[in-house]
Order: sequence, then structure tokens, then C-alpha cells
Amino acid sequence: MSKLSENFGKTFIVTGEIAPPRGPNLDEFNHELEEIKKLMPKLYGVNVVDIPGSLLLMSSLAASIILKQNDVEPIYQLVCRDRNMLALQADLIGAAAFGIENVLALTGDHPACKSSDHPGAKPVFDLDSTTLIMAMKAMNQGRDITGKELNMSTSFFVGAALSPGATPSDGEIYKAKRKLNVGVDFFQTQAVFEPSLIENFLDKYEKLIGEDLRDKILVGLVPLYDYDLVQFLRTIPGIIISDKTGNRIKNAPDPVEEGINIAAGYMDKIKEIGLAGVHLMPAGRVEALLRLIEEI
Amino acid sequence: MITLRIKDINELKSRCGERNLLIQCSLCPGWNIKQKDIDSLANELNAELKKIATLCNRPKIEINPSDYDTIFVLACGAGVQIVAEELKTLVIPAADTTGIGIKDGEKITKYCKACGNCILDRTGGICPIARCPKSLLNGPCGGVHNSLCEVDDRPCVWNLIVERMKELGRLDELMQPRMPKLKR
Repeated sequence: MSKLSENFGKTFIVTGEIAPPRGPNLDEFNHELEEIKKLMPKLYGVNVVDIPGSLLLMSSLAASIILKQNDVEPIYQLVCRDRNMLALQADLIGAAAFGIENVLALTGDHPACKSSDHPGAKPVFDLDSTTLIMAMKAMNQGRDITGKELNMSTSFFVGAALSPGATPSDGEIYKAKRKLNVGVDFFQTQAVFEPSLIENFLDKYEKLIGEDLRDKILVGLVPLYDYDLVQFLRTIPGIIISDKTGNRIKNAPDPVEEGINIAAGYMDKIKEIGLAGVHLMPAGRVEALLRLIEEI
Repeated sequence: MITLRIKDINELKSRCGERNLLIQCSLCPGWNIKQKDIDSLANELNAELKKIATLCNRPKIEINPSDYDTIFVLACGAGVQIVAEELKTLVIPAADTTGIGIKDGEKITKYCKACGNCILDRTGGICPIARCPKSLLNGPCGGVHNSLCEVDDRPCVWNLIVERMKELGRLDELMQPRMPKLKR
């Protein structure tokens, strides 16, 4: 049983994130990993991103195996963009064989999305996040997606993404319910910079579906370390940063410190709302993330 | 109708010889592209234009390929193959076949991808396979913002499906997962 699944719902969960390297040299990746390793007592897992924004990186499976071999519990992110249903299940069997249990099932950004460095790549999307969750739930029952037996069942603890900033939010709400219907274990949100956004989403979810979702959600947080990052993040769909928050970073004598204060304040608010935990993302600067984790 | 997009003109010009022919199927090209624009294309390619009735009916094509250095075909992918088979020569497609579309005034929108697995009864009569760039069966994805798609700012088709299912009072069906076809 993974540390994440064992503790989910019992304590306030904090997870981190690492990006695989853009090439086979592991020096920088190993350095980051060593830094994260020191903080592992405070973390319940570390997300390993899978070619985010269609920007080429080393595979998330290979990087997750490296984490596992270094006693850092990975949350293996797996997108449906690049692999058909055979390849997805083959990689999942490989992950299980290496003892990887936490998997975040993602549809994945389209290769032609604005950030991509391979806009001509052929998208697969044989499965999507919902059907990938179903595949893993079948594997946990010892069967593949077609119902054919595996030689052993897996023990995946399955997460999925949630975009509380999606506009309109109705489609996102019905999709979240669909993911719950197929057995997703937890949700991880896109980066949230205004706690009211998540509160409004939860209120609307309860109104439309009649259920409370808060004990399933890890809220994405990014420590804002400078105003350029604020402006960049504002271009990403679903991310809303108010003028008040943006100006706090812009006018701060030490923006890194201010960003950590803001994120720590959000973390308190997230605990107060009763959410399951937070997912901390470095947004390109791991030192800020490490300092935020030290604050916990 | 089958939707077509004329290939890059410079790419086509680079294939021209001294004696060029542009074969136009009489059916879909004229629906997609104004005849005066097809005439201009022939002119730019320095090609003789010959219209042939409905290539997908496999008509007899009375052309001697050795009369031409290059034969372009303005038709869907099936039409291009028919000409190649009939004339037993290399032919150059003048357009890319992009799907099956409808017209809103002058604007053509792809509505069907001929995927061979129609699910329109389960998506409120709106096709996510042809109209969502990810062809998602369980959308919308997380990239939708202000009702627009993350890829090209077209309206997110999954939002349209949600709204249609609401109107039809079938939201419960929307919350059920849809699996892709697992067997042939």
C-alpha cells in the first residue's frame, strides 16, 4: 500500500512535483531529487510529470522508477496523448512491476496546443482520463481493459485532474462525477491562486450533484517567485490570479518570500475549508518549492 | 459533403511540368470551392482543366496519360485513387481530404469523420469524434476556457454536448462513462 493511499483522508496530505530531464544527463535531476529526498518526511508523494504542454522530456515512467529506486514515492503521471490502449496498459504493468502504485490519469494537452514543441506529432487519445481510470481499476481486479486476466492484480491508487477554473464549470462538474462513478480515488487540481475559486466550484458541485467533494481534493499551489511568473501563469487556461495577489508580488521587496507567504496563507485556508491536502508545484524553480515545504 | 482543402500552391507548382492537367471531380470540389477559384488554380498550375462526373462512380476516364507530364486531381482521396487506378500512372492530389462537413453560409465546418462507430444517439446528436481535436468520448478536457477549445479557439464541442443534454433532460447519461470500441 502506498504512503499516499494509506494516509489519504486521515491526515492533511502534501505532495510535491519533479520534472524529468530534457535529455539523458541526470545530474540536475539527481540534485533536485536529493533536495526533495531531505523533505520526504513532510511529503506523501512526488508527482512526475508526463511531457506537460507537449514539451518533450524523458518519460515519466523512467523518471518514476528512478524516484522509486531512491526511496522517494512517485505519483506517476500518465497521459493518453501519446500511447494507445495497449501501450498505456503495458506501461502500467511495467510501473506495477517496479512497485509504483500512485498514478495520476490525465488526458493530456494536445500536441498542437500553444506551448507544444512538437505541434505536428500525431495525437492518440485512444483512451481518455476517464477510461484510463477504468483500465487501472480493471487491472486492480487482475484483468486488462478487455476483461482478459493478468498474471497478478495491480494495486493502483488512482488520481485524476480537476479544473475548478474551467469556464463554464458545468462540463467539468459532470466529468468529475463521471470519474467518481468509475472509482477515482482522489483529485488533484490545476494551480489555484484564489481560494474563493475552489469554494465556488465546490458549492456548485454540491448544488448540481448533491455531494460533497472536498475530502477527495488536493489543491494545486505554486509559490509565485516573481511578477514574470504571475504574468505567464495568467496566460494559461483555467488559472486566475487577482490584481491584489499579483500586486503583492510586484511590489514586494523580496518576491520569493512574499510568494511563500501567500502560498502558506492559502494552505491554511485550504485546511480550514476541509480539503484533503495540497499539491505543491515548482513552476520551474525548485528552490521556492523547497522553501515552501520547509514552512510546513 | 466531403470537405477538401487545397494544398499549398507553391508545393503544387513545384510538381508542375511543361504539360499539366488538372482533373476535377464534378461532385465535392465544386461544393467546397467556387468554380472561379478552381479555374484560377488551373491557371496558376498552367494546367488544362478537365471535369469528370462523380469519380466515386468509377466513370470511364478517356485521357491518355502520356499526353501530360503532370496530372493533378482535385477530388477526395477516393477520387484520386480511382484516377490513379484507371490511368495506371502517378497522379498528384491537389487537395487534402479533411472530413465530412456542412455549410453555414460560406463557412464549412467538419461534422463527421466517418469513424465507423457512430455514437450520436449518446451525445445529443453532436459528434465529439469529428468536432473535438482530441476526439474525446468523455469530455470536456481541462483545456476549455471561456467555452473555447485549447487548440484553436473553436467553441468547445463538449460544452455544446453538455448544453444539449441539459435541454434534452438526459444529464444522467452524460455522467456515465463511454468506452471506445474494444473489439472489431
